[in-house]
Amino acid sequence: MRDQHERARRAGAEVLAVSFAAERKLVRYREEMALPFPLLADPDRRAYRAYGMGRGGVWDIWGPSTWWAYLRLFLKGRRWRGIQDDPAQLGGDVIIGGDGRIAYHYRSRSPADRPDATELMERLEALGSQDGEGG
Amino acid sequence: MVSVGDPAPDFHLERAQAGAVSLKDYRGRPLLLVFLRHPG
Repeated sequence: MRDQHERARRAGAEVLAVSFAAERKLVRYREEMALPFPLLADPDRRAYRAYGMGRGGVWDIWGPSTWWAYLRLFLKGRRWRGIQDDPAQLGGDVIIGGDGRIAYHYRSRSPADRPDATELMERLEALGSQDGEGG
Repeated sequence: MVSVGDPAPDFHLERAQAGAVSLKDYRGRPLLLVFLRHPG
């Protein structure tokens, strides 16, 4: 996500990460991960619901793709953080244009399911150039 | 369920030790909102 953040900033876009963990946990997480973008706390999940983020069933949450994602993180040197708060809560990615309208919406089907990073960045860059032209 | 083209729902959320932000703070430029899931 750090590389994506840098590319997004070059495109004139902002990146915000939203978590359902409590703010005090996010402070530690942000320091440990040295994240360059803001981390927002949504412990009651109002924003998750407003943006249509779903909840997964047992197979969605603990299927092979989730274990594979954990293994990849482990191989990158990330330590096991335990089960975080609510494993059934799924996430997603939303791009909002400068006009305040949703330009892209991706709802994850499992914890490891993410949209293609290159496609996300290309959409942001396209929007950034439009907004720049519009003043 | 929100869809592409809809007005983005407003939010007012606390940043980690840095005060709250709202959607209107980012008006006028593209914004990527990443809703985290548990493998982080």
